[in-house]
Amino acid sequence: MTALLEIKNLQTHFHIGKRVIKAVDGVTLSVQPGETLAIVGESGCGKSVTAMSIMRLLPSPPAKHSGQVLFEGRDILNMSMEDVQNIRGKEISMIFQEPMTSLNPAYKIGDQIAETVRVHDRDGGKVSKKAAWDRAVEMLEKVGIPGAAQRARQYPHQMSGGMRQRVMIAMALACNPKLLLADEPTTALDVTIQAQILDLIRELAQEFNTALVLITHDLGVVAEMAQKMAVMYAGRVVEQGAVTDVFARPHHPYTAGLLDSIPRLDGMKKQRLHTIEGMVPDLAHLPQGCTFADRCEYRQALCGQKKPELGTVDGGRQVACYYPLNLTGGDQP
Amino acid sequence: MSNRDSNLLTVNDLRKHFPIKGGLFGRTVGTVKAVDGVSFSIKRGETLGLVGESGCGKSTTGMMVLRLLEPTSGDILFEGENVAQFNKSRLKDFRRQAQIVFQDPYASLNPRMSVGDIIAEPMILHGIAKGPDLTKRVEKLLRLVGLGPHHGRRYPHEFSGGQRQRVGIARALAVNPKLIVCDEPVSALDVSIQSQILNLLVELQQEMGLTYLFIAHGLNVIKHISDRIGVMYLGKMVELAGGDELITDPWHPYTRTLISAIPKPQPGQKSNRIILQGDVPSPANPPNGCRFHTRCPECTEICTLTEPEFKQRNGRFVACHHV
Repeated sequence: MTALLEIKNLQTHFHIGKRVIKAVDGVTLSVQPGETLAIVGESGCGKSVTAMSIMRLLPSPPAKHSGQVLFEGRDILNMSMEDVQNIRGKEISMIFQEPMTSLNPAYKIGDQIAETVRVHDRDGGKVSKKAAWDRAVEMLEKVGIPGAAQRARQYPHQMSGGMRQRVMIAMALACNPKLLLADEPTTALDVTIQAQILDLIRELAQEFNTALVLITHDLGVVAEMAQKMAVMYAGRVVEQGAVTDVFARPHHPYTAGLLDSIPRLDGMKKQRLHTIEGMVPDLAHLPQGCTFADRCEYRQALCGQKKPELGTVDGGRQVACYYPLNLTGGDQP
Repeated sequence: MSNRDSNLLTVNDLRKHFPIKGGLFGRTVGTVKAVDGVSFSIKRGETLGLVGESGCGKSTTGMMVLRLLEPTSGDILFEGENVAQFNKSRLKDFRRQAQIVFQDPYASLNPRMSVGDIIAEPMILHGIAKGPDLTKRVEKLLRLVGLGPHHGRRYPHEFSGGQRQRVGIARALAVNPKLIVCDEPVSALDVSIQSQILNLLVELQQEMGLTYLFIAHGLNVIKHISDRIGVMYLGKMVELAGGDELITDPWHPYTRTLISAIPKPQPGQKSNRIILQGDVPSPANPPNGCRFHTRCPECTEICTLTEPEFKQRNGRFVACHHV
């Protein structure tokens, strides 16, 4: 297969003193070229750690990886740091949630983008300072910053939150990467600005034919942006499939519960919302069986004994559950 | 006024201007008009939602209603009496009837106090209970918000975000208030926990007849919990109407934009999204005329010249020249 990114049973455990925190504990997913995959889950489910692991951004120790992260067939987890450097920024780049903390306050934004271009340029040859600067201005125009040539000479504090996120996108796409990891790119922004930024990301990803891994907790963002989605819970992918299918027929009780918990604009006023009782388990003391079993309304004896593996049902859909919901009559995993 | 009995709270032309200090001698060089003439009323047992983007003045409004911030001008009538003119002892009395739940359950609980002590403190301050009676009331409050009596001995760091928000709610309920200002009470919580807290707030309102001023930036949350909704933009209220009417038939262009900007959890449904150009202008230097005119898709000449009045029509309020 020609998957751009293929993650096989990724585990990222943090060894802190005697405790082992299993932040990511079995993530399997794949992204095709040009495709948008959304990773969705609540805080602490391991979605950001998964992205950081793909980029090898976590210091080791305490982080310990196992499994495989294949980018165009090469395992990033087994690469030398030098090879990883060659992939970062150039083949895979990343945008973070907080645009203020991910930009250097002491440098002009044009210089920060130009630096990315000079360090990572595809041909490996030298890019002149002038050419890199011109590329920076061009990118700022692309992300819709008015007066790009003047704005390039400004510092991050002179820009609003939405503008800073545009700068981050310009930087991330400056070297025309094949894969963009966007970790909650609009969570810190107001809705009207979020609408601008989501539109921009979608347009540019299409124009540059960049595959996108979009990490978010907002199911609305998933529905609008992605073709495929992976739902994570307590460090594991519990369900994966095409966005329209998962929304129409969630197989995992957690996915179904999440979808039902969102208050909707067309819902009845003050009507009781669906709740998922209880809390996410402690990642240092994960239960032996299914991690969701404690909160699951469909739990049976088997669920507490052994962890269900991610298996294929209903042609192409994947779910990690012994008793999946809403099956159309396909094979049980 | 005839509706004096049905309205628990009436706010008239409320303003808060913060001075900008600058220069060598710290002179006032300008003002940030955080809230600039906001009026609304809340009936007993009703929930009024305030929605808007960051910097629109919704939290400042909530803080002024409780006099946690001093208003620059305007009236706040609580059961017909002007809170803005209360002296210290009247204010203390008033705070027994009006309480607040904050957004950040991490920052609004004292880490050095046990949860039981946190909930007991307002009852001690207001001389409501002491001794064994106090302990009993604390236990009752803990149960009311879905926690157990054993939780009272624990400290805030031992709780999850959702549980801490429950503690914050129990503390607000301790003095048996009539009005609770909820300032983004679920914004910091995950979806599955958010729905637990929203359900709790609705149940408590129905059981105890509470009145809420509910502030949030998430329109879907506001729509869920509110009877009526006020939309704020840059220190002004631009529209105020019943929740269903506002969502299905928004009158103000900004309200329409807000509704269209929310990503809907319905894949495949192409939304006719209105995308606004640019950012919210600075409240230190708001545009002339209608404050929304710099970003409004329906702006005409009059909008740049005169500020539209916040007028009543068919029981709704809206501030726009083009309704």
